[in-house]
Amino acid sequence: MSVAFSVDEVSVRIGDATLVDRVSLDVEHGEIVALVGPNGAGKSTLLGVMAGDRTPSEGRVTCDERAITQWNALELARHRAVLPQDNHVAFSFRVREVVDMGRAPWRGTADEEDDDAAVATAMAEADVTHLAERTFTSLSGGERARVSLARVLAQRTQALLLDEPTAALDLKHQEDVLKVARAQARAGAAVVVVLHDLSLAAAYADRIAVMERGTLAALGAPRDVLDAHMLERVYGVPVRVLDDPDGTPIVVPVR
Amino acid sequence: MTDVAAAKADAPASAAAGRQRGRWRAPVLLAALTLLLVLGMIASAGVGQLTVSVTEVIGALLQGIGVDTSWAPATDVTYQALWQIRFPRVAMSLAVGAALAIAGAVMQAIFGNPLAEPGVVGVSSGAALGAALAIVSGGVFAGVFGMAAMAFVGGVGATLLVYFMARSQGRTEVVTLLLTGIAVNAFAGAGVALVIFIGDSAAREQIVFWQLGSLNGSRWNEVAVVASLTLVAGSVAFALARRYDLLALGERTAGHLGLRVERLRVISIIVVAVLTGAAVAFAGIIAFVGLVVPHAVRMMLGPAHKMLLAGSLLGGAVLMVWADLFARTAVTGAELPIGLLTSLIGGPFFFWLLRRARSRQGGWA
Repeated sequence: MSVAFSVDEVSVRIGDATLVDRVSLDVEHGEIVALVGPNGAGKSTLLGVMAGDRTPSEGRVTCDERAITQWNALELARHRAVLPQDNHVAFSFRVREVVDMGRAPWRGTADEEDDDAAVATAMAEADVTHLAERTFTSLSGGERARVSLARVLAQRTQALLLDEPTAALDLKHQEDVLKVARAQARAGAAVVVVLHDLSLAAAYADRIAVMERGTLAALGAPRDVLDAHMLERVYGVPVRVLDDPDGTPIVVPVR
Repeated sequence: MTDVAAAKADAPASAAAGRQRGRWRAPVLLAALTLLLVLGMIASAGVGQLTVSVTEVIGALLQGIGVDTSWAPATDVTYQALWQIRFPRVAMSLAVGAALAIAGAVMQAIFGNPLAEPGVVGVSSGAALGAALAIVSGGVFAGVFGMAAMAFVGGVGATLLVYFMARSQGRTEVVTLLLTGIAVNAFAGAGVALVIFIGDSAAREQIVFWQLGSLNGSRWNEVAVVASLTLVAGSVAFALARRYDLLALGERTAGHLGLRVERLRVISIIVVAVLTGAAVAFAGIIAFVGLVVPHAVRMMLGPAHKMLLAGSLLGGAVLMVWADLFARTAVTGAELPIGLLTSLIGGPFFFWLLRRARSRQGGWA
């Protein structure tokens, strides 16, 4: 599989603060990489750099082997979709209209014919079909997050950058969202997802990147990365790494 | 169990019904507005010191464009009165109403805030300052185009100021927006006062009355300026309608969807300033039209901008033509300034909107 995102020695500094410190990370098409780490470790900043929102102070980012600065906004929109951490919608647009906005990059192309199908599929995958006629502003936090995910899926891109897609979700929908992400990856998409639940990351991600104060503390397959000593150092709380009967690691704090 | 199953089966059906409702709503509203507009135009042309019958209004209109009918007015006086006084005034009210309503809708789109309005945030007073300077300076600026140009310059200045002062991190908080509006209004108001202070008495009188807002004495060459500017800037707004929808997701997300936010912003600021400047230059300050009309349309047709702009265009024209008719005829022998009238209605409406916004956001400090 080819490399979708290549982050090469990237640093982001604002004033005196170093948010991301010389991070290198390649994400390939067909895999899910989970970004984990404590609050303020630089996960969202790194995701912003990969999305092209932020210009790194040092280092370079390439998207399908072309420097991200060489892409224009529309090309990027057809290549990758981004789910931000908080999702506002000004004015009371209906859920269907919001999801349909995800089709905007394809307007005027041959893919425009797929609009209805893409929107319907995306809404089914995010389990928001029953909310279609509700206004976005009337939804609960979890419902908003799922509608925003549907918007991102409707964009039908080869790369997905998801910033805490499971934060406001109940148990079932957390699993559903990550199953959708996995299905996307199996279909060839590159998926980068910021998560807080390490067990969830272990169950669904192909690789986990652990961030610690702007640097990459560890990167690799869940089984290799989730080491109790390293996690205790990064998070500042003692943890136990257990084995689920199916073989995936489970991380729980020592209480 | 059966209830749940029934409810589930019902859900898609009611959703489909909802879509059906939405589908006939827009044409019905637009048709109703068009009807109100035509009625208003005929009424406004017919009612006044000289009463003209409906048939005569239509007859004169046809005669003017070269079609002779039996409905043509009996006397030349009536014909001249209609074509030189009433018709240009009606046409001006349509153009000004449409311009202000579209300007309001565009402004709300780029601020992502239903309280943004040219009058409230000070764009109108900025334009007024420009126009007042044009009146008092005389010479080249005193003409029709000079006033429009100066009003435009003032409008652009005020819009830019508000835009960059009131936004932080891609969002506009209500409080910041309104406080910025207060500051801009105060400054522009002081500027106009200074201009009045240094102007001669003729210029003073002209500025004072013009500032109250009136469509009195509209001439065809002025109508042509306002109408053509409204047409051009309005067309640009319509072309951008889908992009304004995306902007509702926030600047960052809109950017992720391929929108060039910065460029859209700059174009929109020019659109708002042209529309407001055109309206203010000849009709004075007529506030709240850009607030009330888009809001009412949004409540009926939803926030999608294509319909919102179409509804605002018609709604603004309707509101203005009827308000002008009322302003002309409510008090016998005198004419109410139309700006006074719209503020009288718009002020309380603004209070209500403000309270609603406040309760939605859980209050603000």
